[in-house]
Amino acid sequence: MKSDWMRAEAYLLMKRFGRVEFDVEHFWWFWVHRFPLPPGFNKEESGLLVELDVTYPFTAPKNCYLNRNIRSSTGDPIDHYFSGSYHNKFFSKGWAWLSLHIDGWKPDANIVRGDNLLRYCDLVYLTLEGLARQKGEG
Amino acid sequence: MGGQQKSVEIMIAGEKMSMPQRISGRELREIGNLNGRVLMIQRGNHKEIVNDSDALTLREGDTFVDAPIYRVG
Repeated sequence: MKSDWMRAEAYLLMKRFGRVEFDVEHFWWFWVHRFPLPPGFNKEESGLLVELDVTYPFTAPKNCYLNRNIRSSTGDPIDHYFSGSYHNKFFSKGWAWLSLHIDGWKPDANIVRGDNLLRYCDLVYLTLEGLARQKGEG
Repeated sequence: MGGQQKSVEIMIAGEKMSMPQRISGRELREIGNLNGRVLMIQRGNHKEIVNDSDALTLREGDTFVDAPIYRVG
């Protein structure tokens, strides 16, 4: 059942990040309250909201959002991070959209072996690490 | 005489495999049957991307994980 799958995902996320919430009715989002940011940013952590399609886990997470007040450690804006309302459906809820796209999502019946939200969080981290490095601040 | 390459046991995508100690990122990904995937070395919770062009010296017990390809923009 999808709810069992989502609870297992939540458990994996909680083991790594602590407090996690998710949409128990429609499974449209997961919220990691304290997602650590790599060096190079003005904050050490952010909330991370992961938006899912109804087809998840068979397709990759749809979008991800971070807190809206994140900049580089020198105060510069971050590429591919949209804190305004453009392309950002959760602007009014205080989120900023990180334009991350996934190709070749491969889930597995064994949740740990296949692609899962924990792995997606790793990609968010690596993406941010790369963006900080581009700015010469990572 | 050229010395024979030492083999080391590593974990790659959840499987234990024996690999030559010196190997490129591309060879590792191909042997691990991970074409079309991003290959990363895992150290604790931290993961670092392995590029095809990287010349690796593997250590016993090194752990590599894979992930889908990702991009920004």
